[in-house]
Amino acid sequence: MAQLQSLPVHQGFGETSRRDAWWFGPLVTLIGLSAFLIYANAIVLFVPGYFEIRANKADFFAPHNPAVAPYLAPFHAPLLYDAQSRHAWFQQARPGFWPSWAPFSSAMLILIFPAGFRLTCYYYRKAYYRAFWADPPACAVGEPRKSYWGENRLPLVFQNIHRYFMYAAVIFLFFLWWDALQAFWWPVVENGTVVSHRLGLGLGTIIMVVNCILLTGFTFGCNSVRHLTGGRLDCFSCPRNIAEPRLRHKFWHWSTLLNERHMEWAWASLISVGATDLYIRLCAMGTINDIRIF
Amino acid sequence: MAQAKFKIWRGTQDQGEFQEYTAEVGEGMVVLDCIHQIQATQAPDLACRWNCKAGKCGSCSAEINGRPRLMCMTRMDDERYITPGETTIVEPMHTFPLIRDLVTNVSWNYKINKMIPRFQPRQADAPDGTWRMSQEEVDRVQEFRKCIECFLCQDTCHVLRDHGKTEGEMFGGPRFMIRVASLEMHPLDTADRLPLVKDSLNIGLCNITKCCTEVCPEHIHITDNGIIPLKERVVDRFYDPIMWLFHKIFGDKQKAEPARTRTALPVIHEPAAKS
Repeated sequence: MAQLQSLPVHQGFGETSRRDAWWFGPLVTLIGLSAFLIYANAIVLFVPGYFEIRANKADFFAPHNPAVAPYLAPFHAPLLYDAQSRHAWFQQARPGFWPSWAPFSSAMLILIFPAGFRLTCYYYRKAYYRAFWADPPACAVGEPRKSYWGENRLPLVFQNIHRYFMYAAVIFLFFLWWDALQAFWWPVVENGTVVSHRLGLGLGTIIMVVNCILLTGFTFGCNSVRHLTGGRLDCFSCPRNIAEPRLRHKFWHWSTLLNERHMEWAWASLISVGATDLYIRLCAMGTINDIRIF
Repeated sequence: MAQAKFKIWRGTQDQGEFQEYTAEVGEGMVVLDCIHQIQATQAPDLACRWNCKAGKCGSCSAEINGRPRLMCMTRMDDERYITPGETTIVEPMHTFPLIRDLVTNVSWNYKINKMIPRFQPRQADAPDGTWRMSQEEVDRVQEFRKCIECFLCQDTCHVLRDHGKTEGEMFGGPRFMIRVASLEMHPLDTADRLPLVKDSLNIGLCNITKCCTEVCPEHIHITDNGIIPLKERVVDRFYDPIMWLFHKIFGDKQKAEPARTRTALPVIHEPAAKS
């Protein structure tokens, strides 16, 4: 054999014998997650208010500016602090402990929970380890770094906290569903004041309900839910050894059905959260008008 | 018959080269058929492992155009793996030491396998020394029993392939996470392998990027049904303070459940009387 060489080992970043578009999936993930992160940070840091549709669209924080629609943007759910929103838990502009010089958005107090839930989610871990950290960029494709600690040491050992974020996410689901139900209960505004409420439906209501359905599918398909509902058991029928279907087996089975499409639920709910938030904000700013069905 | 060009690795790990061959491709042919044809007509000394040619023995693992695949299960008309009109590259698995051509030494896997305590069933449920369990109990582990030990998942796992975690702080690899899962989730088994999974097989090294699931020819959901549930069990035992307290107070009752606490067992079938 002439010109002998050693077996190509593909140690360099991106080196591979693959000919398919292995880079396409990570690239889409990189663009999609980056777009969401940029949107979320921009909203939280630079767009105070506009989380609900108020009568005076030009000045959201104007005094006696009542909400004319029952929507609440999901980045602000639950709304802890606001001086006039009826969604607010505390009727004040900002908490007392917040430094007066620092910008404040109620979303800053709560977004750590849904963000933590997604950051430690088993699907998202796969997605960003591949797309953002290239470890690996794709299967059988060379990596940029040789060193590797996996999730065995700090900081990534903290991924094991996922179930605690899941508990928070389940609690958040209650708030979001409550907001979605409230979106059917429209304020009747006369002369700048809310005089009563009545049943109503707008495009925003439908969007909020769809958002809740997608978030529910994502949350209950979580691998930690699957584990805690039944996956941690070796024997569903123990100790009575009855062959009939057990309740915990059913819960586990339902969670498994959702988990099989966890990636799809993850993306659908991520897009729906961003789109719902954007829709309500654009309506609140007067850029677009909400469609009132009845 | 159409002609297909191949570049096949010939030689050993340190000495060798890609050599070009041509095969006549007929309808329904797979890559292994072409390799056999090349052996028969052009390269009688081409080394490759194969047995069943039906995707069940796990012998003919290789990398076809850079994708870890069973050669017998990769059809020449499958455009996901074979580009029509282009030369197909066939390499041995990269993660294991090469013996020659397409044959690798996979014995490291057998050493890992020996580290895993065998199946240890609880005390028999019935006086005749048999056990009772329902189908729903064993659905999970039956999926894992489909493994044919082709070691494609071990080959593609970047922890082994790119980071070389085969010794020292070594990673057991997806195949053996699945073997542990098949034993740990078994309703009759009483052994505790979680310390092994955490400290010796180092499940924490897996960053669940799911390449093992992508390449599995038996379509076992290695990550979602095997590794992640094991990771969650490790969290239960070693990381979650609430679960730790829960186990301290209530104990881990599901392991080593003695048969005598069970209610009367249904008789599944009476043995037919011999006439």
